[in-house]
Amino acid sequence: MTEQVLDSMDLERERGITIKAKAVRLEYKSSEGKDYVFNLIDTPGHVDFSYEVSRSLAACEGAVLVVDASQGIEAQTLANLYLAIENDLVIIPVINKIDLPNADPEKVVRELQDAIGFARDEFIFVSAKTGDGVQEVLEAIVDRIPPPSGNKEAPLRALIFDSHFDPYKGVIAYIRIVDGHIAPGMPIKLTATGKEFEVMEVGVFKPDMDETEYLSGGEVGYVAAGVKNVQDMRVGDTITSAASPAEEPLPGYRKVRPMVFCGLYPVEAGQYENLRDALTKLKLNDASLVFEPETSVALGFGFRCGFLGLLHMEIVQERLEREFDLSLITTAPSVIYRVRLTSGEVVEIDNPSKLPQSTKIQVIEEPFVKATIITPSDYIGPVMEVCQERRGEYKDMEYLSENRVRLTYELPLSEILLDFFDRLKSRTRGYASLDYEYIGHAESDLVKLDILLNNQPVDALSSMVHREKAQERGKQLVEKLREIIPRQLFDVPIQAAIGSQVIARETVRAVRKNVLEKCYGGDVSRKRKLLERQKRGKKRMKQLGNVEIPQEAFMAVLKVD
Amino acid sequence: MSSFHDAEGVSGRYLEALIKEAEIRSACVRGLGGEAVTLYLGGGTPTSLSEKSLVRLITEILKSFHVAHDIEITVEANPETLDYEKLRCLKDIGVTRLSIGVQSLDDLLLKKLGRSHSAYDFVLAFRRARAAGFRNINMDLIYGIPGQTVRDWNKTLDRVLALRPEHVSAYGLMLEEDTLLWHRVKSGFEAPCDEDLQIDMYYLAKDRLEQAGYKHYEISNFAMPGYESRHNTIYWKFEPYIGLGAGAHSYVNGERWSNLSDPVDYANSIFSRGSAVSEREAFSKADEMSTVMIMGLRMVDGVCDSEFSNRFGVSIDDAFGEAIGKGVALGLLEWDGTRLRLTKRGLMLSNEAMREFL
Repeated sequence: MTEQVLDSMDLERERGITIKAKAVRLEYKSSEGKDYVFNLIDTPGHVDFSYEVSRSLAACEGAVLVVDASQGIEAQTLANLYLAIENDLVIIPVINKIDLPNADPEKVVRELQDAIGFARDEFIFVSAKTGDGVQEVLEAIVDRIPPPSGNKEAPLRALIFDSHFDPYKGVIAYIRIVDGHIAPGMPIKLTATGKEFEVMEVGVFKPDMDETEYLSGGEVGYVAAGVKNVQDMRVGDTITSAASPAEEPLPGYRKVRPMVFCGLYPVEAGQYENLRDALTKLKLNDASLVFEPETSVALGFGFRCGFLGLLHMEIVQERLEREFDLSLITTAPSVIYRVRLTSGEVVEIDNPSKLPQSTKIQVIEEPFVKATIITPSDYIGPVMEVCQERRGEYKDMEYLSENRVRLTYELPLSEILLDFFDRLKSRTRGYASLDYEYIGHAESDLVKLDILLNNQPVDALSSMVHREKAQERGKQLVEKLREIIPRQLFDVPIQAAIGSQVIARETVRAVRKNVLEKCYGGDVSRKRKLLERQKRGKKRMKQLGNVEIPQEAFMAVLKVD
Repeated sequence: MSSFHDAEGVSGRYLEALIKEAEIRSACVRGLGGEAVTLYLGGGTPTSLSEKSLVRLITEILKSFHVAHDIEITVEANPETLDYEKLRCLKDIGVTRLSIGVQSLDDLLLKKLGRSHSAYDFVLAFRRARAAGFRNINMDLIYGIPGQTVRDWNKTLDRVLALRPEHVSAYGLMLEEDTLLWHRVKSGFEAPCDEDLQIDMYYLAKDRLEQAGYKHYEISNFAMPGYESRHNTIYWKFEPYIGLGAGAHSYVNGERWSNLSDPVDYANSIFSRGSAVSEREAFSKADEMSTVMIMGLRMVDGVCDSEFSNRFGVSIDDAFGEAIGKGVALGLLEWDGTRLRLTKRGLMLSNEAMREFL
């Protein structure tokens, strides 16, 4: 059997994470000899994808909470657990990886008991690797999770919890049937959009799509109805019968809102259309991705893209480069700033270079998050330090067990985007975990920090910073850029400025020597190869005026400490 | 030719393989007409061979090829391998030019470079070579050695100019991996030479040698008028050459090839299959044209447009107008309509200009 059956994307397998929720149907004969059908959904755990989790949870009766016996509970474990509790689900706590030498199942049990109040006998100890305890989990599903309660005779109501786009069949909606049934040939209606279609195919996931005659109350499966436009069959909508529509749609989901924005530009201008096609294709399977055309003086034509978070951004970039063979320049991520102008008008800015003139600005608001950090108590000090450095405001601290602590802080989201998690990890030897949720916009004393190369402002390098940190960040940024930008044939001054005031300056000294001093008959090929390599290196750089800049310079703002 | 200093017992067999390769190659190129105008024994230390072996090697090679009456024959040597008898013997069999790897005339720096000779050893060897009748001697120098100051470099140049060799090659030190000096620099015992200082030393050597009557004729080479290395000029003009021995490269008839680099493998291969070629590469006309530019620009007089158009049927600026325009705009190249050459600044930045010709 293949490992990681449900994590089928290359990226998921390489990183050992789940990016996209997957549904699967499992037939099971219980110890009492009765036949059961389980409809299971495997969900991501990362905070960026909590919307996938919440959608999936809304389609279920119960949840199996799998916690690593060697790692213990993490911030996102609790976040997802609370989501399940809010959805009134029966929770089966499972402690996995008990075969690992450093597993401490008892400690994890205590942590979960303290956090949620599970009874001791609710826990199941499992090693998915050896198969130990797996049988017990399956029995617990039979015993503890109630069968679906829907009414098979009532008019159809099915919740779309996910979808993907198939070039032949159109939108494939992943559905949970609550009431009634659905079968090919049936006219259906999407409650939110009011659009009507005829069902072409229904089926279940095993875990590949497996066509069936119909799906009925309680079942999880898919439906294809020749829908060509993803917007017509949105995740969270309710499918009902066009002939006898249900009176009440199912509770939907709140629309996901991108939190992180960055510019994506093709390295070669000729790839702009390819980038547009690639983004359009990715969006078919990832409704949370948003993008619109953007122009930069420095980078030319590209797209401003919105993501759920940093991981989501990284994954989209990587998929664009891998699956569509694009070479991209990414600008540093930004949040959405809400700017109140002196005229009273309020504008939302997702790109610092678009900030109106400072004389026209009355107030700038930035998004804040509530961050939950779980760490061994030894590292409380360092964690607090990191949070304070990042303009965090302390809210709460709670011991989960004698040596594990949950800290709650309110932080500007922009600070989290700047390498926050890596810093947290490095200060806690990798033990801290982080979860955060948006709590709203609030006023901050922010300024726009511009970068000038060779005395020319580079719009793609502008960033928003807190006024008190501007001096320091400007200094760090020009130092970092000096390291990243290769020496050119002339001196290149790098300046950081707020408005017209230069606050930091460095110079990339001109290259004086680039020569192969010894070159005779045996060196011809070596010489040609050396020059070819140099030429290729040049090609990968972006020409700004007469300065050549490597791609990573545009992410420099993320790499300063 | 390379790798003369081998483990005992190997050098004899290696020598025979060289002679055999010369015979085989000469048979192949005989049909092309033309004659050998230069012979260069270098790489490794050919003078570490016995007199008998040297004589045999050179006479056999000369016997194999059609040879010009005024052939330039250069032998590379280390100062410690040059005794008077050997020098006489080289002179007698027709060697016209010596190239001595002295590196520096500063004992402290020689030690740093891991050289076994002293500055005094060199001066003695140089005098012996003069006494044996050599009137065309090259000194290989290295500058930019860790710890070397401009003053040290001036002192070495003083001594070089006092000896008045006909030819001087000067190279900035490249730290070769796994050498003693490389380890000392890596582990922080020695600070590498600052790039700016190395460049200052380069231009200092250029100025001083030119003042003393030497012509700066290639990025790293200086000669009294008429004493330019004819052999190396063939490489820089990218004209045909045949390399014999382990790791040797050849360029004949639009094709480049190189031999196996291990001397034992090389000899085995020559005896078993009559060839030791390990890599071959065909040069298209475009490759040849760009290589003529890349190699040719190394010469301070640059590339001559009429020679170029005679060879390729197209003028330099028709073939490389864009590269020329860019190089000229950057102040790296000079183009007067008949010759394209590097500017003084361009000498040390030549790669920046040359890569545009690819």
